[in-house]
Amino acid sequence: MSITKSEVLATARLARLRVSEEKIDGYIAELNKILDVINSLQSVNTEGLAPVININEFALPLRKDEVTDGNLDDIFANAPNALYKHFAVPKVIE
Amino acid sequence: MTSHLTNLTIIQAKEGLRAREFSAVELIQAHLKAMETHRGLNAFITETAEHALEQAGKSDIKIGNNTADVLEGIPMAIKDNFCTKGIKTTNASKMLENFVPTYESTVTSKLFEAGAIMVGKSNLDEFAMGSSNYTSYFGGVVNPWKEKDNAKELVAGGSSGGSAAAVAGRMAMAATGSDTGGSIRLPAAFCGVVGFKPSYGRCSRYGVMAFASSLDQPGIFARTVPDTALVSQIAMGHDPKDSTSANMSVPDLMGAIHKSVKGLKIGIPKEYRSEHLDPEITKLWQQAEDILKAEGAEIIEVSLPNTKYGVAAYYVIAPAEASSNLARYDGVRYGFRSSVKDMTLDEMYESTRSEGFGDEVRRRLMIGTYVLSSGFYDAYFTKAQKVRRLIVNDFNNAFVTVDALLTPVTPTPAFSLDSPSIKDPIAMYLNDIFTIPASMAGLPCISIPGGLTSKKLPIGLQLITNRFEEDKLFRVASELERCINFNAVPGGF
Repeated sequence: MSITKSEVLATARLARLRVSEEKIDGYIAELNKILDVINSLQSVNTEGLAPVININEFALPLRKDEVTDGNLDDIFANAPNALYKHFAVPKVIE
Repeated sequence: MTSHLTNLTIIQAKEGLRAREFSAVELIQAHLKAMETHRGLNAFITETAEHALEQAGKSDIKIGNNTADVLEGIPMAIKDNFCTKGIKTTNASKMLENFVPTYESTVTSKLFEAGAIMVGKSNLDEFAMGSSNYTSYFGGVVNPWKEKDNAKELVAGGSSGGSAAAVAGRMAMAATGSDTGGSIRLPAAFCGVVGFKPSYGRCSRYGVMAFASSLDQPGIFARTVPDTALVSQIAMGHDPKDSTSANMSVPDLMGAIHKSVKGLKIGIPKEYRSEHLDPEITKLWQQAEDILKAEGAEIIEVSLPNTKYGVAAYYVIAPAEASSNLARYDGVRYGFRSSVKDMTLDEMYESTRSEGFGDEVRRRLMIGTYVLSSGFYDAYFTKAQKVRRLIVNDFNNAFVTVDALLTPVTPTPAFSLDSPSIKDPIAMYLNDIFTIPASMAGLPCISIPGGLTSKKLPIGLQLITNRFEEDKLFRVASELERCINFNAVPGGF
């Protein structure tokens, strides 16, 4: 499997990254080199094997859904744009 | 006096502080001075001199009234992907250039409670993605070591290169690191220090910025195995704030380091005798094997037949998890936001992420997004997770027969900062061939200095034990360290 120009553009769109027209050919070549390495997995027989999701296979504990910390002023201090104790973003409704 | 203080081990420094031979303020001042002298190595992104001196004053009071804790007054470098409350944490990215965490990571809070003092936030590859430190937004770290009669600057290794260089360069006595596919062991090997990655789940990941959550594990650098044991003993342990943290008691590492290897079975994985391996590393690996044998261990050749698929499976799983974890960097709640005017929300996301992330991070996000996308998910991501099972099974089988594995850490010693391979992603990925498999299996592993090459560069040896058998790991590591007696210091330090 190798990656095509339209797949690169679709992937960039999903990742919310921009790939400029002049860089796209370099990008395709580079991603295909990495995919060549990854494609070696296709020949491995993995029949009947369970995928590893959590290596330790402990049951994940649950906690109560409650606020345990957080100071709004400190948190908003890191926001690129905050107004009236809200995160401000470009207008989404005309 | 000051260079004497920076050359002490932690155990010696503790004794000196206790006996009032010097104060914690003097100890910290000596290290701050070393940081200033060696600023050219670029080991730190942020220096925290004022904070360190203030803490040292408090340590001196505690030492004075005999309430000093285990790491009281010990200078440490903190990798800049550990959140430190009120102190800028950048992850070596433009994306987080001005980010000030509102909370403290569990590992750093435990170390600071035990008296350790942060002297600075150490440099790393951007978002811990790299093995050369070349990908840091703030420039690469320079290795304190140089080849004999060659002034060329070498890489410190990645991703925790700043931490390893700070410890090797006598700017800190220990450092935190994080290891996803080799990011502690590789720079430890290149810089001639000890680097320990615990079992997955041993150290809390809370407050360590996520890269690949099923692999990420915080760990510790120091210059000796006993020092590493002392600091790691504090850093490890269950944390309810990390749901993958192991709810198990922490083994006694300080007890383990005094035990001999007599009667232990040490495995040599035959697949690690790779064509990529530098002959000088092969030689030191063989010497280490002979040492353990002479000390009464039994050497057994073992097979890890799926080793060859480690890098490929890793470069599916790690980027896939990263593409999910790094979705949070959208320019809304924290971090960088593109300043392009009159953008829609979607354009703002895209510009922010395209301008805020560097090349290697963008490359991995593309790979990760691709292998998770509709139509490819099973063929790539699930397939890689199944291959990961084969790698885990290889180790499980080996540990039926042996107590520990002895392997190289890196295929070569540190390479130069202007080496052409540094810009070739595949060549860089192959630096991790010996470190990735143990990460994939979540095993505890350690890199210790194995000796110097003919050009006087340090080489690392890796030990791996079964899951949660850190005590056995330190038992073998300390015996090997005693016998190798590595006491070389980089020129000028």
